[in-house]
Amino acid sequence: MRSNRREFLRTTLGSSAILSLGATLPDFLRAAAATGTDDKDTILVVVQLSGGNDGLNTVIPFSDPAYKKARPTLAIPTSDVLKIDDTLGFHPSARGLADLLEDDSLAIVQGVGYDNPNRSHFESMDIWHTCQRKSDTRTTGWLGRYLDATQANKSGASLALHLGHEKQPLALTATGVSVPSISSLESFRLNDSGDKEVRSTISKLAASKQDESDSLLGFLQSTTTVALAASQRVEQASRDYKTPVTYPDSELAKKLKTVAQLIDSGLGTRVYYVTLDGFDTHSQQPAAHAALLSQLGGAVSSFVKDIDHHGQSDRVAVLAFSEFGRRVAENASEGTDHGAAAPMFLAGKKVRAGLIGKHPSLTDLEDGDLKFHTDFRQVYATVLESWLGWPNESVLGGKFKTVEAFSA
Amino acid sequence: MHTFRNAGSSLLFVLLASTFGIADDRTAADLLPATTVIYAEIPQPAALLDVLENHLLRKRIENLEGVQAAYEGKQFLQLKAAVAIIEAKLGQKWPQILQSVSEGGISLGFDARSQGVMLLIKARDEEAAPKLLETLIELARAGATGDGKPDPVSSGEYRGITAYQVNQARIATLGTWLLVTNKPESGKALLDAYLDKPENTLASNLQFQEARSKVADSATAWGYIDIDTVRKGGIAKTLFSGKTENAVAELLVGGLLDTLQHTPYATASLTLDPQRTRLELAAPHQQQWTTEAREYFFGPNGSGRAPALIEVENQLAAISTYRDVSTMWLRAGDLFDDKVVDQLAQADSNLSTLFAGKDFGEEILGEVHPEIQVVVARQLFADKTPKPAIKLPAFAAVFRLKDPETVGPDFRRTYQSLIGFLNVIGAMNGQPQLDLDMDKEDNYQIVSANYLPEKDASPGGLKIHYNFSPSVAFVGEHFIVSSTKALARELAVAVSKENKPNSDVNSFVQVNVGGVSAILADNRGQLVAQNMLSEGHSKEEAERAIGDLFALLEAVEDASIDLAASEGTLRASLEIDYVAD
Amino acid sequence: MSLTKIDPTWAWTPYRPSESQPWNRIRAAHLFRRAGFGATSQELDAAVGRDPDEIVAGLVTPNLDAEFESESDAFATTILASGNPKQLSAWWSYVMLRTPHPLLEKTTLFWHGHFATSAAKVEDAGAMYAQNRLFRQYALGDFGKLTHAIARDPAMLIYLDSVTNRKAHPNENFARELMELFCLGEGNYSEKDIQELARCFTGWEIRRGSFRFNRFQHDTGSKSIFGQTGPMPESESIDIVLDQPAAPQFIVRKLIRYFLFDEPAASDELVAPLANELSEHAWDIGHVVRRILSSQLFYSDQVIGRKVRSPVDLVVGLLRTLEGSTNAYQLGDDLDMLGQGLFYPPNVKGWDGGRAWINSSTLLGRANVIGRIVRDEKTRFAGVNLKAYFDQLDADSPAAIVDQLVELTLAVEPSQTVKEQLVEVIKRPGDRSQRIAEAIHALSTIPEFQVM
Repeated sequence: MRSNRREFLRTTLGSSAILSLGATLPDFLRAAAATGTDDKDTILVVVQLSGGNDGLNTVIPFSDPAYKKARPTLAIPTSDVLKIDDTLGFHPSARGLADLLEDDSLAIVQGVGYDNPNRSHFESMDIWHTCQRKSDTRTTGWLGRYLDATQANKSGASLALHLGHEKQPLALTATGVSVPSISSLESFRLNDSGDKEVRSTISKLAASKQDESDSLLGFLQSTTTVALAASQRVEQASRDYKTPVTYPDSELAKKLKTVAQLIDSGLGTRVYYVTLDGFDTHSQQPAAHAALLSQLGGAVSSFVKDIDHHGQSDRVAVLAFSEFGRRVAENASEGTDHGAAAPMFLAGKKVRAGLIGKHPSLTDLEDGDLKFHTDFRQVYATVLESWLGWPNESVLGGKFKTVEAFSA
Repeated sequence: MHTFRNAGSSLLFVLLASTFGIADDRTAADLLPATTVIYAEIPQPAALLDVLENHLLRKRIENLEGVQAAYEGKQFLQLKAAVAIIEAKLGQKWPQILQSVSEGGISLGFDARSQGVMLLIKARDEEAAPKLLETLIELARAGATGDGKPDPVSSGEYRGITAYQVNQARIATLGTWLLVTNKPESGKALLDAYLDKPENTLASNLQFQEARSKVADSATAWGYIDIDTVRKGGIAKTLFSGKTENAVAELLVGGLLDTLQHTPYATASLTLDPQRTRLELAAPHQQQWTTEAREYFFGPNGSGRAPALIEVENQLAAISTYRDVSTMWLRAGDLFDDKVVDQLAQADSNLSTLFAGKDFGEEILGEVHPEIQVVVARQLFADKTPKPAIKLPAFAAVFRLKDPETVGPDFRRTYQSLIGFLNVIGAMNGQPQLDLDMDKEDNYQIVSANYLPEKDASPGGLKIHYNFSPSVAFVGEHFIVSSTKALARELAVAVSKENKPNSDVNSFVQVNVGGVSAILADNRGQLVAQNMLSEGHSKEEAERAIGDLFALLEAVEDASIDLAASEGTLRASLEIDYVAD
Repeated sequence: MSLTKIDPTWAWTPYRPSESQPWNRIRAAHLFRRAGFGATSQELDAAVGRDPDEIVAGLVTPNLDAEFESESDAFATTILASGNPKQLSAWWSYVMLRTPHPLLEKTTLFWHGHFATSAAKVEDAGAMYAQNRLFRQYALGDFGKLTHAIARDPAMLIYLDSVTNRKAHPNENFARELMELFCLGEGNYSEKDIQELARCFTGWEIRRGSFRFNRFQHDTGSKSIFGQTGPMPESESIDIVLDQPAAPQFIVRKLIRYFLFDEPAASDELVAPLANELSEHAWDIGHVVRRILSSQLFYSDQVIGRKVRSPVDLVVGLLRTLEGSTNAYQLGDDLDMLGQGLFYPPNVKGWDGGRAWINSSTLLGRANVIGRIVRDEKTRFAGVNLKAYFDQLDADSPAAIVDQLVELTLAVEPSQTVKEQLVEVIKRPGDRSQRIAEAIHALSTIPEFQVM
């Protein structure tokens, strides 16, 4: 696999398509060639569970009588739970997560949240993305700030990639780096109907200088340049991928498979971001939540297997989070409303597998919600310091104590 | 000049004929190698062109808006220009050119040994083909020069005959023949056969002779395939595997698969005349080839016959067949692989739940005779107050019960609990409810369920549900399941009146195209709206486009397909009848 | 003058053509781009001969063409028979392409984004269409009435999981969105206000697709919202929210963002005069839209070319400008791919708009979609191909075609180099329509094409 990146650079540089992109590209390519990313550089794959995952029915305190009391219709029967220990177990549909744990590839950080929790999807998601409250000026995300910092430090293109057709998550918004969003590899290709001259005209147009004084047009110009360049890169990178792993047939699995392809191609991307939406289960939760957990577990476990098969497992970790958990007591329509603390997951061969922290109490509640004991920024700090190798203070806006989530 | 050249060529012909000592009355089969496995022929292209030229459908097609536009399209204009050049060069109109070049017939063969496709066109005389070829080569060269491309035509000699190559095609003219092939071997074989007159050719192949003798002389075009060789060659393995792995496909064509495993050859023939198009496929067939698992298809010793047609008003289509579906269901393990068997087992479990716990294969399907009829008819909605926005046809199946006395009441109860079940599901999803009703007449009984009108109809008009009033009818030994009460009644009356003997085929399908037009007309508003969205048309443009569709359908009267297996031959035919002009 | 320091008095003074600010094709094109989906060359010719204020008045109070309305309604009804909400996206795309009342459609789209409801969750085409009709009915009318109607709208209540709302478990969802997203904005209410308002909505239910008030499930106890206390039956509670001073400000700010500029958010000072007028005119949205579209600010350089085109502005805009028609199903899918699926907003907040429309994926998508549409066999321009269309406009040379394209489609003049490149594309040998299509495709990739 080691040769792939060099192969990529060689063929890309050699292709007339790149040359026709003219003056806009050399900077980008020089940066990629200079920095490359060493093949030992670690990679983070973020899986955002949008809508508020019911943590209580994901990692289940089945032995706690308060659980069945709070969830008269939604409680998972003890016999169905996939047991982690004598008190906790996975939802039966989260088989993939259980398999990962079995395989020493899953860390569960319990009771993650933050002070004075906000129960609006958008507000809480913004908090998770930016690590800032509404009263602060929020223009960048935590990963965006990480990208900005590494960019300045390494003077190269440290790239993040968002896969999905939804709006780009605020977490990736940076001031100095524009992060591409792709909905599929296909949609990331400029379709010139096979006409090289049209492509060349488009490249020339993109290369013509913009009036720097207009910030809106400047923004559009730089995004266009990034789009055309990254399109070339991804197109090249995704060719000839082979895997023995059969991914389940789900959107998330498709996205993660694409991530695996890109990683294997030696693309210098350090951060990949995907989302799985639909966790806002206010009514008729059982079937919907089961399907989501099955998708999550199936996709992530296949991904970890695939990455391992391609000899990349030492450098890839997956982080899964949701903007909040759900209320402890179920509602009248077989669903649950917006809550607070919930577990986060880290997956990969290098994580310290097992439970981290303790399950929040089901009786000592705050406004009917679980109390957090680990701030989400501690988990971010852990990922930054122990995985991406970057000091967390400037990125998170304060020093946070890390948790023991990665093996030494 | 013209006359002179004609005279010259006649002279040349006499000369050539005397040189080689032949007056060439050989057929394409005399030139094709004995190893030819696929053969197709249009004996009289001129007659075919004539039918097409004057066909009612052709005029209708040409008048369509889309076709008119295509006539003005770039490609068509280029083609027209090329034709004009050829016409000018040869001093003849295009139809005349085609006629003189192909008067002796057009044949196509595929040779298993050389893997070559060979096209043989026999001209009226020895002048036509070379002249046309020469012109075409000139055109190709001129086109390439215009585009700045290298000469696309190369040529070579074999045994004194010049052959040309354009892309993959190798072309030569030889006496009255124009020969085209994609493989040099095949080309050489044809030339050798022409010059050496070997004894062993396709024409001398006994199987080919037999096949040819079975095709009517009136066929406009016909074809032959040596299935035995193809099968042994390991081509299209799934086709000859004897399995479908698809329950619907099995039900439709499963019985043919056994025959395909044994039959030596098959023929196809197409007959085209202004009133009718008929396509017939035939293959030798023996009862003993049918495996035990497939007895459900043709019946014991191939005795299964489709019941006679029951006719109703406004009939769109009817299917009549012999299929022992119960046996097929129970034999699934022999017919399909494990995956399909598992799926059928799941379906069986669901269907059994639906049918009040009865075993679907034994207690439902097992209670009916294998002679089955399905009737599809247009609904008029005349007597109905609630008219759905999308108007679907009604459809029904007619069975005969093995034991009407006991099974009849049993089926009635099953039907009632099914309706109750549908109501419970419907209520959960906010769908309209079904109301049960029973009608008793002298010689039949109908149990039906009608959708109750909704208090406040949705903005889209009445739901599609109002196309249905699911019903069952009991008429002596006959049992009818129908999507509407009206059709159930019509069939019950028809069944109770007459009892025609079975047909003499295994299956047949009849389609009344006029009825299909009528049902499309019932939904004209829908079709126009869909056309506006999908084509971006204004309302007027969409109305015109839909009008074209109707104009085309009006040309066709009806269509039918039938399948018959007699000792000796398996025959399937498709016939389309056109409205007289 | 920067946008943050606009003088409100100057801004809202009605625009009067003058020598320095003439009423010409450029300004008319700007008006039609913002108040609709662009104008054709003939429409611009007609517009420059008329008074701009009079044109805006005509747009705001459309003389509804009864035949078009009833035909459009019948059309929608036919489409609904299939019961598939996906078809509605095609239907609305078609209506936007052909409507004689572009401002009405554009404002209907505004309310769809404001009271965002997605068919992905509602799944009932009839309910989605009924809501769409509601938006169109009040689009340029009374916001108060619209808010009252939306509170009982089946699609909205299904979307916000408020199909049942019992007094024992008040569902806070609609109450929260009513304050946060529909009427007031964050920071103008407390969590307590939401909880109390939620109690007012108990007993509001959807049964078999219709609104029903279940008096047994209604909490009749006393509530306290924004300092007012009482039982607050039914819709009285909505009026209390609408009476908050933040409400007209919130709506006016959003209208400024929709019709004038994406960023920065309008200052309190700029919002205040129109917010007052909105109150004085009993929530008449048409009045405020008319004030916005006929203001000096609207025709100023601070507004022209300062808004990122939404996918609808981009695609429908290009087609309407060139009198284009095309496969509406494909159009609906294209809009979805670019992030603006009609009847499928991404979440209850609606589309963020502005720079949020733009990322690498959507930029390439924009080029791919425009390239596909202009090459599609089903796309025609005034019923003919591109060459014939530009012939009709008397633009018969490559340079004249590029000039027309630039004038009709762009709010900001591109550089001379860009125009020269496009002329080169059209000059290439071969089918002229094909070459023009390629030029439009190339044009769609430049930054100026993304703004209006």
